Amino acid sequence: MSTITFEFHGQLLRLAGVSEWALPLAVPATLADVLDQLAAARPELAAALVRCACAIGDRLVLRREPLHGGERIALLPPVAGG
Amino acid sequence: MTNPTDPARIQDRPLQLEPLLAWGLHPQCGGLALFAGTVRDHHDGKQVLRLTYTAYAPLAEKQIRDIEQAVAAKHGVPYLRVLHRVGGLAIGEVAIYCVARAPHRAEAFAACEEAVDRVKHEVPIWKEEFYADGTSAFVEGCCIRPDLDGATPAQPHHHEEQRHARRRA
Repeated sequence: MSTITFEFHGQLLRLAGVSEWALPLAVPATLADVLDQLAAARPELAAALVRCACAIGDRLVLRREPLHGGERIALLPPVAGG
Repeated sequence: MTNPTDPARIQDRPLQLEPLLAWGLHPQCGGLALFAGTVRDHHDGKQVLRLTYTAYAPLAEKQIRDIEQAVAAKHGVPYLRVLHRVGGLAIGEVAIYCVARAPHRAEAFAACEEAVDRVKHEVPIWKEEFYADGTSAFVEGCCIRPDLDGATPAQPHHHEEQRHARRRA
């Protein structure tokens, strides 16, 4: 059993109160599956997660993409630079 | 900054304008457009004391470079750079610089405006405002999730606030 680590950014960092959260991954699983697991573990984040983009490194990842374990997934809430 | 012509686009120190202007290069360019975004002392009727910008740098760096390239190509602009500051900023400090150099002013202005708009709306950067009444709030902008049902990312562009009403300790 490997793990997936979520990184919280922006306002999500405030909501979560911690900078990251690890979950066990049972393959096969998609990004959507592990986001559902995260929402179940941290229900106060569930509404915000819907509006988050997800990135691994410098690549945006779609909900339907499969995960293999060991990934770090950055959760990116709505942005407001400038 | 190891390479002055290819600086980090996300920087945690005061942004340096002079190297960004690329004087002495691009002799075919007769127009330079510059935008500087500075920290305002108010938002929605509230007095703002300071800001904190944070970014997800791995993607932000790549996206700013992609935006520069796409906007420069669209407008036929030989040189386009956007730098964004992160960390704690005081009122009046520069949060963003955009420089466009082009043969003529029309395309320099157009590229500068479009690049700034796209960086504000598409790049993973967040702004937390700290108010005189002791509260703080994230300025909530644009959802950048590429696969959200029934929604087009980067729209709409009006910025609401998400209040957390945190008290300063």
